[in-house]
Amino acid sequence: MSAISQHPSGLAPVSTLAVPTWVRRLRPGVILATLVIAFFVLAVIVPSLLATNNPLSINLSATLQAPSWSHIFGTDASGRDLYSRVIYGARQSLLIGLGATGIAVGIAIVLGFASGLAGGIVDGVINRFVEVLFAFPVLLLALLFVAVFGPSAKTEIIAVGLGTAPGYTRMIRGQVLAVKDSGYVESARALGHSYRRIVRRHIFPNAMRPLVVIVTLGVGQSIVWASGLAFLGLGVPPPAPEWGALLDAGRDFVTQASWLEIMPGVAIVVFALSLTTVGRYIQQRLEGGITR
Amino acid sequence: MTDRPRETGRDLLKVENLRVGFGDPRAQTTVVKGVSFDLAPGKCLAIVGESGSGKSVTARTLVGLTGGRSHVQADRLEFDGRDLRHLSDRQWRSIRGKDVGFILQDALVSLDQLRRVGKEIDEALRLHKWGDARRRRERVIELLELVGVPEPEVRARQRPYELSGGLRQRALIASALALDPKLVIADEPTTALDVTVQAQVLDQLEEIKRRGSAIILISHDLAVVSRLADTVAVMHDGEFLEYAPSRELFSRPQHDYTRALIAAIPSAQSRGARLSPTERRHKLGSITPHERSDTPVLQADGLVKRFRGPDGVHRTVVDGVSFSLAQGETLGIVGESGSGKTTTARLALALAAPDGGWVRLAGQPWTGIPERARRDRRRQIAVVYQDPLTSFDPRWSVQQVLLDSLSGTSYSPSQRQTRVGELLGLVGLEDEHRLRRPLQLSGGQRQRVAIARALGPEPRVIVCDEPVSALDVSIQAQVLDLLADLQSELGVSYLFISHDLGVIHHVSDRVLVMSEGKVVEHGSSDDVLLRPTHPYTQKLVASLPALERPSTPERPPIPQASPSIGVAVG
Repeated sequence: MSAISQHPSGLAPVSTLAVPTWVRRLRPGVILATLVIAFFVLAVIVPSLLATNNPLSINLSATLQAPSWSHIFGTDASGRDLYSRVIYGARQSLLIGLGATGIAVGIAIVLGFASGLAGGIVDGVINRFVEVLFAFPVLLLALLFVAVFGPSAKTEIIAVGLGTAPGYTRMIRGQVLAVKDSGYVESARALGHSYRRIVRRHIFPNAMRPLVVIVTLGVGQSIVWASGLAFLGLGVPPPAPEWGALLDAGRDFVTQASWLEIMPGVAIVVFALSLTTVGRYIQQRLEGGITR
Repeated sequence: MTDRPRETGRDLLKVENLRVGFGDPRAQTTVVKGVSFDLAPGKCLAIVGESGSGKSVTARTLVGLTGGRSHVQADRLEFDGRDLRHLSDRQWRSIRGKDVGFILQDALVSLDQLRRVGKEIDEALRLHKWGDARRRRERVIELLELVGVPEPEVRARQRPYELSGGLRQRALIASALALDPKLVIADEPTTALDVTVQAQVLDQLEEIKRRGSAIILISHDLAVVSRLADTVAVMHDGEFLEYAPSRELFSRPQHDYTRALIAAIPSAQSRGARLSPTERRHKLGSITPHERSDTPVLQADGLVKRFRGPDGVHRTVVDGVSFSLAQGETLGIVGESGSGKTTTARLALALAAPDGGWVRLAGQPWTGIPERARRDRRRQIAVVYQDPLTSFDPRWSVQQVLLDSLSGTSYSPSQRQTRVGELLGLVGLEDEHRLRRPLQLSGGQRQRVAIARALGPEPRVIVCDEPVSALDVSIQAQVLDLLADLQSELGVSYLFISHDLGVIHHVSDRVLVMSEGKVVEHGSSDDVLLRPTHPYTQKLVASLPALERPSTPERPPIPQASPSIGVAVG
């Protein structure tokens, strides 16, 4: 089917000459998602530019205020501006999300490729190891870590990273096995290419392909996990405005001041969603606009 | 359109000026552009055409299954005196199964894998409130018996995956026949089947016809059609180009497209002749043909391959296969699915190690040596698969695929670019195809890219594993012609594997017939396929529906520059 649709009614088509093709191919959702990500990235780099108040300044005369023009996300029990806290919290949360996903994917690439390519005993050993990791709920693993190393962002990153690694490992191993059995790998063998070249040029890139989307999903997921830990008081210690910690702090006031839960929650969801949207878009572009 | 055949007796089905479009009304794609036909009880109408011709859509219109975004219009659409034009979903359901039975191509897909076969047939009866449970059970057994399923009581309790392809297809026919429909629509009923199984299914369809039901047969296989049809409609691009009684159509085809279609079928008679009306136009470029030599390029002796099944039992898939392939020769391997053809190909390519026997490539040992020692010599033997798409890295463009095949050759980077252009020209593709991805090419073009890739390292032998099985007949003709041209120009040898006896006979100098891993017969292709001595080969050859060809002994002259032909097969 042609991608060009006819113009309804008598609207004259706007001249498309000035607009480059890649811009026209962007979808509004993707643009919006990119803007959201850009906003949060800015919040990470220079939070003072976006924040309206000092995230730590207490104002006991304005506690638990509902969202208004002066405090667009409202204020918390100590009268701190919630919007500014969300902005300042972006750094911690994003760091945790990216760090944890990075650790998870790093481990998964090593284990997944080793197990998928080597097969046999190596595969068996790695599989058992992954299964053991799987059997531990992420939360339990995190509890263990926090108990040993004390609550901090670093602990959280490692705990969530380790906790989510088995899933990625499984996925990469499956991809490796599928690609290893594919027609194009056999064709490459028939052409006389070396094993190393086949791994480098076919197996690695093709097995990693679905990872783009999964990773963007994973960053959001890691933030949610970390928020969960913080919610249980196992994350970044207060008064640092990490998103999960904000959720945790709002818990006690959920009936009187629901915005304390809703606003940071919305921030997490919107950010995770935007990452996924952009990730999917990137993947489609990488594959020449065709999803398979 | 040519004259309409006059049917005697009351027509069961009358269709006039049927038009089917898809998509929203403003930007509609018309798939069926005004076709008319009628059908009397006990007669068979075949609609023949290539993929995308609109034949399946036409058939689906008659059961109201064209889908939600379709628009069906007709001046007349009558079945058994009933107007089908404005039926509700509920009314359609009362017709489907009861008055019109529908047989689909692939029984493995269209039967519910988790439902017992008997249950599936029972369902058709139950939906239309036929009899009570006990009567229905009897009827199910009766139906399975009717379509020639042995031990129907046992089969009825089995699930589709426990049955062979032929039995599955017959179970599907049984469920289509459950309520004695007046019309049976069979959409490519034998396409996925082996030739002997196909013969059984065609017998069943003949039986249905004899019992007074009308059949609409949708097929791309003219030989199948010529056996069953009373009337044939040749469909192309949503229109009937020709609509005539079967005998007339095959003996005196009127339309150029029909003639090209008949001429495109490979067979014993077509050997050495071109199948497609296209002409060869290209330069060999820097490629030099292989010099003649007396040593066989590929030689196999006593090949054995065993696999361990999921049940732990070892099965011998290839059992004592020997052959020898000379320079510039084509050796055909023919057999039904599971006969060990593809495994033999993999052994010849040294992609699998034999459990017994050996292979020699150009006089040198090819099996029993480490892969490292083989790697450099792999350029002498190439492969073309049935499904080219899966054999290309999905991230790569045509150019990348071809450049990859040149790695390890002595060409410089700039020479390689030139060479890619030469290879494209050699297989009849243009420079504009360089940057396309295989996914954006048609099936025929993809197979050309696969052939170009195989030619890249200038091999002495190309193993072709069902290279044309997934292609339409006119595209198949072009690809077979291309392979023949390349052989005469480059002196390359082919180990050609196919289940299609016609294709094998057309391309092969010598033939191996395989059954259950063993070579049951071998010799020159005329000896084996025209005068078979082994009972299995005899059965295979007898199962092949013969196409009545135009009465003129020489092939019909095909106007080279005719634009309609260009469109038809291009």
